[in-house]
Amino acid sequence: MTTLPLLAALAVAQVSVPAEPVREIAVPGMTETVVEAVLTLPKLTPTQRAQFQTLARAMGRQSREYSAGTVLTLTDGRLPRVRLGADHLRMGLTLRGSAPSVALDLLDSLLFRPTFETADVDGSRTASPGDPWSRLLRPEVAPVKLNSEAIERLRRNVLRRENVRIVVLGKTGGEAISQWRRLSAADPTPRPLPWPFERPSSDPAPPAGEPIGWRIDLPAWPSEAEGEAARWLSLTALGVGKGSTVHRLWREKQGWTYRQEGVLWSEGVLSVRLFGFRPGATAEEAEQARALVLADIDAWGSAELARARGMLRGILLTGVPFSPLSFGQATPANVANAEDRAYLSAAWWSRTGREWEPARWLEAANRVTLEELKAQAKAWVAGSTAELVRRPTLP
Amino acid sequence: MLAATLVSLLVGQDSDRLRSILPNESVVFAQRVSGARSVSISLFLGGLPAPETPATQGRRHLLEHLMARGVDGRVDEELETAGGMLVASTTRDAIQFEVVVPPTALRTGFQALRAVMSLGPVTEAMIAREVEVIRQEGLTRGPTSRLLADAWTQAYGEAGLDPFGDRDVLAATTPDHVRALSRALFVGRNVVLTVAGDVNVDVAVQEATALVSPLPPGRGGVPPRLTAVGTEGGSVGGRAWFARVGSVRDSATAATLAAGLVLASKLESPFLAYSPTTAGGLVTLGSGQVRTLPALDPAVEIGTGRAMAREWLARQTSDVRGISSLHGLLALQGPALRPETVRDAIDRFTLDQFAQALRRFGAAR
Repeated sequence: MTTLPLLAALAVAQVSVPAEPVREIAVPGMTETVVEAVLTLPKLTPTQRAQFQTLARAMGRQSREYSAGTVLTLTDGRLPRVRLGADHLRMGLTLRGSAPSVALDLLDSLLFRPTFETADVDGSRTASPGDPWSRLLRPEVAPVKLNSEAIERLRRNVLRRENVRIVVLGKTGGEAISQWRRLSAADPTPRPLPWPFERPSSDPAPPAGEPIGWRIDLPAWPSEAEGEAARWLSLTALGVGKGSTVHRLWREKQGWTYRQEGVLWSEGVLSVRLFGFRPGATAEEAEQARALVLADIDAWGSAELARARGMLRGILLTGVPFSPLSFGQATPANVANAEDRAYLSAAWWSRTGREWEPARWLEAANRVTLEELKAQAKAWVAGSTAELVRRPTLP
Repeated sequence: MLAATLVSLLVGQDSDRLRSILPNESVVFAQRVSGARSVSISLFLGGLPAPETPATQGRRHLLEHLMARGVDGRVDEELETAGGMLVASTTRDAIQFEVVVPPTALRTGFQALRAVMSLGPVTEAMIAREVEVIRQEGLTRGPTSRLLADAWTQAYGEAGLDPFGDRDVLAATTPDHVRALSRALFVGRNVVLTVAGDVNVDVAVQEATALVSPLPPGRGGVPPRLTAVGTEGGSVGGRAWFARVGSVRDSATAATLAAGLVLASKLESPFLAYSPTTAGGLVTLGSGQVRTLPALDPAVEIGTGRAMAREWLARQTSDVRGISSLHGLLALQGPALRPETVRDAIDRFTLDQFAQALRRFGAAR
């Protein structure tokens, strides 16, 4: 019924797929230029992760080539978007007008050649933890001190060009890709530095914090495109909206949780996770929560399929509030704004090697039968694990 | 048809924006946003007819919860099947019910709001259930919420009560309290309905008019702030800083917003909270860090501050949700109030006002 208008709306973007890790999406008539980078983190020890968390909080302000004032002048006062996810760093910028080359240059500089004020790095260590829901999604590690040697090691080992995917949105015609080539040639990433030896800690583990809820980890989202529509529908049926299984069961029926959602998560692999916020939860409740979801799938009917399709349209096209498109970030991306659309393209590309194709998924979702939806959801939840999430003990 | 003939005053700005004041003094507003993926329909109920006191703190929040379920409990199912969603919130100024739908589901969106407006039977059991839900909601509130609440208490005392509510007050609320509150809030002057999206504004205004024109007349708006208590500005635990402001029409208010934005840009992961009202309020900024604010030279920073304030305003109206929210909140306070009023104040503020604002935050050199 509404598929054709949806496809027409999405058809404005022409995607060029270069060999470089930069993709330009031309949007005729767009009055701004958006650039978003997804920098995949290497495998880090808890100490290295804590160090990078401290550093990431101070990034995006200034760089070797751009002072803090110049950055704000170029962005018309809009602060660069810097967000650390479970397995990647997101950095994004928006510039007025058509400026793909400048946007790419500025982002490249802030991402690969950042400079830091001591107060910013020190200050980031004292930052209070995020809101409780964010802490349920991704407990933060304890902040640590950084010296110049540690900063240089992080810069050389984590902020590396080969780990990035960049998407530029706006009136573009190859300028950003050309700029990337110039910058890569002029400033090749230096060789990594060896990490210092970390002596296994003899200190007792910090006392575990109080449980703040649970998470149900579903099996990895397969890399192949086949069956993708059923997976998207399973995500929405299980965890998106007030008609979702987790809302109906965990909040309305059991009265366990105020907030519960399914999200598309990225932490090494792409997967769906179902979160329930319940301070003081027990392991038995978490397992019971999982069992309730599994049992509910058998009772799904045509209304659940129709709602799942509608909700999928809502998250992939309309941009309803409470998006599940998290990719391991505490704040999910929402297709309603151009910045997040660019980020989603970069994140999906970075994780699957494929293009972000909402129109194709929505069209395919109309052909998924109720039995296919239930089979996918059941297989996922049957293969899932339930785990209590505890409040991190921060100094 | 009847609704169309009842419109007493049309404030047409251009073919893409239409604002109407109905005979009962409700305001409806529609703006066409060409190419927008979604339509935002917002219903605002001002807080003026029932200003919260320590004895009633949180009852508007409770009413919001009860109404959001809709009279038959099927609001969400129908909306979500159409690709939409309902969200509701309660602030010091107003209760807002917002429906976000695809442009093809405009009618479904209005039907959802109609269901929300029809407060059905309210029982003690229903209240007890929602009080428990609100208790759990409170557990999800983060440090920023607490910092903001503390800033309001410091600046306004009881006039700055946290609209989230007091547990004892909520537990003692009866069905009669809820019904009386609903009757007080659902009066013409206290209701604004806004629509923003790729819609025909005439059709949208007609639909909106049909929804709110049956309401009885009665006074409304946002509650006034008392200024006899509290401080002009200050810090909350070294993690947030606030400055009291007057009407959104005043250039001094715009100067304070600009100063707050410049200061926030110097912080890591900053937040800034300001709700544009004629009743006055607060500009609050912070980052969750314990640190001191930098001392700034007003003459050096004023240009950046003005640019950031303009950008802040532009961002408030850069998408359909922002447009429906800002226009709704402003229209609740006066039919003539609109984003251009805010822009005008931003254009007019002086260096002296900007310097005073920095001083109130404790950050002038």
